[in-house]
Amino acid sequence: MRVPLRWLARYVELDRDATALAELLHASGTEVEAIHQVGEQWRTLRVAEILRIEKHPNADRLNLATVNTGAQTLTVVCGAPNIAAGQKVPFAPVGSVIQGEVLQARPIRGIPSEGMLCAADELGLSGDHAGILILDPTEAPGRSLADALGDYVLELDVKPTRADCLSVIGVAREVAALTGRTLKLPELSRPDASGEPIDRDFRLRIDAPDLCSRFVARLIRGVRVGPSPWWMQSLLNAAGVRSINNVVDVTNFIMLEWGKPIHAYDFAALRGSEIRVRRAIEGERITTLDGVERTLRPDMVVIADAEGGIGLGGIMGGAESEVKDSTTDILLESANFDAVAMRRTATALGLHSEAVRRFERGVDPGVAPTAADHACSALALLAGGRVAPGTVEVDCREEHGPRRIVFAPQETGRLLGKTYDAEHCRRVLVSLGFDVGRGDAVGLEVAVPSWRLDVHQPADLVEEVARITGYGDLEPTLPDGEISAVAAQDPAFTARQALTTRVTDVLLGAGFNEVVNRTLLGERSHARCVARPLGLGRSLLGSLEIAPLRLANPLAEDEQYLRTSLVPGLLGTFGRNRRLGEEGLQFFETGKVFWPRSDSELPEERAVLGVLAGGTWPPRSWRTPAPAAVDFYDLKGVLETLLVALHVEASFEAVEHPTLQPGRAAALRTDGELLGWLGQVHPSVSRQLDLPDGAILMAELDLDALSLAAGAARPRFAAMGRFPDLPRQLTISVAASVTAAQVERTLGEAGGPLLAGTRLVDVFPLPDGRVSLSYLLTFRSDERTLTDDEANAARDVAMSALAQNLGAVQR
Amino acid sequence: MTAPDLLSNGAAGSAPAEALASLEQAADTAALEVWRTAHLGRKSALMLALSGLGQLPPDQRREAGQRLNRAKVALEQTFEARRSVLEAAELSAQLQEERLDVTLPGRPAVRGRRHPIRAVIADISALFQGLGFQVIEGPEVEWEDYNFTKLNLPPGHPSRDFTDTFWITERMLLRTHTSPNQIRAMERVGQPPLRVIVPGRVYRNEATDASHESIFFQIEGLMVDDRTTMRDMMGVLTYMTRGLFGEQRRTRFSCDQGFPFVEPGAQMAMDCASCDGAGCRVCHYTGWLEILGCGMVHPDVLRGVNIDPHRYTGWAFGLGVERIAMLKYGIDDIRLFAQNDLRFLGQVG
Repeated sequence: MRVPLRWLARYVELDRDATALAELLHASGTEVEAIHQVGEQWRTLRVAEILRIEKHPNADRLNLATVNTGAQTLTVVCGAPNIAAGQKVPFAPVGSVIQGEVLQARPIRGIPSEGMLCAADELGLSGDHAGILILDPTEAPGRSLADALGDYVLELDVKPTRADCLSVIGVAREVAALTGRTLKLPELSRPDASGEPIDRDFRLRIDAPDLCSRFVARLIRGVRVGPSPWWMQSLLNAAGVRSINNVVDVTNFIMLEWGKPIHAYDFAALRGSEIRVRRAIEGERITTLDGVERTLRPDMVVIADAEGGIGLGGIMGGAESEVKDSTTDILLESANFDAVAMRRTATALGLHSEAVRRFERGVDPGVAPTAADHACSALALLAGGRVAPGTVEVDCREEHGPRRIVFAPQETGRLLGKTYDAEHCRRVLVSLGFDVGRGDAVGLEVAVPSWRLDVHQPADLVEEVARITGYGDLEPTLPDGEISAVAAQDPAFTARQALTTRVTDVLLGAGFNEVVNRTLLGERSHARCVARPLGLGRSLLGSLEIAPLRLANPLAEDEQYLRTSLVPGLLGTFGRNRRLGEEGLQFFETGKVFWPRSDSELPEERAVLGVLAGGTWPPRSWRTPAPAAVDFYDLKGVLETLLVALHVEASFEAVEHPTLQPGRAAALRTDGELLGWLGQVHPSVSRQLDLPDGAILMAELDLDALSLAAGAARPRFAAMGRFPDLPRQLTISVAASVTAAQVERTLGEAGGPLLAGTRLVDVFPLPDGRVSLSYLLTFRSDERTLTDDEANAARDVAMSALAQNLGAVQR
Repeated sequence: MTAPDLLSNGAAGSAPAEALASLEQAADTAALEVWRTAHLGRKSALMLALSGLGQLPPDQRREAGQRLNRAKVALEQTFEARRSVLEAAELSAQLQEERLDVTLPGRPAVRGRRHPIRAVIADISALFQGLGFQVIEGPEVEWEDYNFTKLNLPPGHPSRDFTDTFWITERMLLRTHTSPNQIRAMERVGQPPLRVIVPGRVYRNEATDASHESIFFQIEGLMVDDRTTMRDMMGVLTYMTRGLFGEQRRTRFSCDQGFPFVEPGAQMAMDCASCDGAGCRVCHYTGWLEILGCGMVHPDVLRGVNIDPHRYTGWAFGLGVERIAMLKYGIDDIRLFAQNDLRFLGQVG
């Protein structure tokens, strides 16, 4: 909503500048998006007084006007027929820029013109070139035209619930209340009604009272369609509405002034003598004012005559009944349409007119006759029309009287923390147009004005009092109330939240970068993450195979599915950064994935940790000029460190996963429960996603399962041994099929009570196909210092178990 | 000079000149050690002479002993002096050798980078936890009932219809704000008191540009008890603002009628940290930056969860996490948050 201050000033005295006014409106809830300055380009133009007019000696149609420009008396050549001595007119001195051109001191028909008198179009005020713009006779010669005609326009962002502020009068009412001034509503000059009364040849029927609650019709005969006066054109212009002709301009002016859209029909185009307001018939067609043929649905409102639609109720008039230059009789419609229906129609047809903008937010039905009256009066005045006696009206509203609220002023104290007394509340409410009755013990009886569709209960009135008084009147305090120990969410959540913080700390410390990916994916980036479906089911292992939830109205094709896994997002992050030339590409994300259930249930939202490592490690530097490519064991080591930090014991077991390279994937389990998986991305997946060559390692862990396992862990203090450790190295060879886990399990079982630790320190393949493994075994006793013989004996026992169970040979 | 020579004749109690001269020749500690073995070692002439004192006639022993001892002490002292000089020189040479270019870069220690969204959520959570607020979460896929109806946005309400929503089914949607968690939190605890904040992702079906994202993060806050007021809300939110942006920040509350689930409704601005309120490009020359929307929980919302609005009052707020991060770190494009570019994460994480 654009509000020119000159227009606003017609209804309320403005006692401060545009910036201060904007601040005041903003503080009270009317957002001011911008302040536009109009007319600054007229700074060098002056108000001039015409002193005398003489005929141009060499041209019949030209005059010589002698003008007082304040500082000088100058002579200009002028061709306009409407000038007369004594008038105040806009004067452009030589050198001014008019319509993009610099004004030259060129002789016209032999007489030099020392400047130029301007028409409205030459100032950019309106399209009017009928004559020189005649200014207010009280203007002082020499005053800058920027001051005389310039203006500020407030561009307001009116909230959907405050449709009343989509009108200059509505904004003026706010300003009046905020500045303690009086609102001056425009006076109605009732022109004499003449001719046959409207109801002699016109009838009205509303067939859809749910969609059209009130319809006021007036008839004006004998209008002359032409341009509207420049003051109206310039106000409309400043408000952002293009001038069409005096009839249309009047309807637009009334809409902007009162916030009430009205429509003018060419009465002669009406077929028959009745108008019906009805639902459209499915597939019915109508050509609207903008020349577009539109196909309608039954939830749309049609204004129809005997033969068909003449307008799309509340949205736009029909082309056939449009006011034309030849139109003489006007049927004026001031009606109220259902907001929801208007919104749906506008959206369905993509038609967002100024009228719709108001109807879809709700228009005060109380103002329908007022707006019609003012429009009649303006059409009589500006278009020479004769208003037909009487009104045809159908009012389908169920409630007519104002809403009443009993309002206890101490309610302000309870909600705001500061109590405003009855007198203060009354003053504020009355200034906004509320009718406040006498107070009693319970409270004030407040009647809500019809334009305040948003006020229903005492809390609404508290807001009115607070916002007009100013929120700045309230001093901040800190709460002193009781703090509840009742969990506002499942306690499992709190545990997971704490766990996520610890996981984040460990991974950041391990050099992994935290990312937050988008949760919406395209079909391709989702589906391409699966090398070949394995049917792993509803778990982290199978999450990429779960059919994702699909949006009914996606913004873009590549953002239509809710992710079921963190894998696609992390691979995308990897690819983007790899292409930027980054070398160390370690990422993690803690976030939600969405696994659909039925349509009648919300999906399962799982909290998952995703980790990705690619590129090289550690960071390249002159101390590490050629860092190695990351491999499976790099990421496994990080996960192991994480598990140790969380006191969770988990096993890694080989697994097949559709996204991962066979033989390079493991499932993590604790007590049989799946915690997640780890593996190297399948090369065909990398290729599908156009990712660069090189190993990409990924893992996903279920944060709830991890939280459960970490919560079950009860780390206890264990006294450190007083006696020294005895280390023994044991190097063996085993067949390639024997796993490290088997060796370590055998060592653990056979090592006896003295074996305190086992660490693998070297692994390499042997030429005969076997594998060499070197372990550092640590022996310790809590009772005495061990002898070499005791340690050696324990090692030998372990060795023979390895030989017996796994065919190991000591090397 | 041999041991018998030393015993028999007197070098007059002074160190043998020959020994002292050769000590001067020792150029390093290794040579010095060779000298020590030769002149003060067990097999040196002096030591042999000392151990041969017993063979002298008793009348000569005393005199010879004193003489030899003087010689030994003199040699030892000179040796020690020489040794410290040489050792100091050698250490100094070694240290000279070990000089480094201290301007060469160090070997980088690993450190992951924090995502600014998570960092801001953690900062704000910590501030509210200090005031007794619990941090909770809620579903991102939500019922339209929770997202709209229970928040005083019934079907047909203009604010609801003007919200650009991603729909999944007729009733299921991607939440457009974190506010449904006001309802969920109140339903769960049953009766006040209640203090929670709820961080999380929200979705709007609208085109993205430098200041609009279709997916972004909000933090919802809610407090309900039998005495809290709008002034408390102002106090807590001012405390949060100062905790995030510095003690000197000022806040300003103005009316906002855009949230149907609060009444009275408000928005909070803080004075621009870039220009201290003087007006600059960041604050569009207004001196103020809008931070969040807030207000007193609407009585109908309380009624909807069976909390008596005559007995209890509550307030709520919702802030955009990206906006806070953008202001805090001077980030000028909201789309950067979802790109996870390492060059971005490295700067502000």
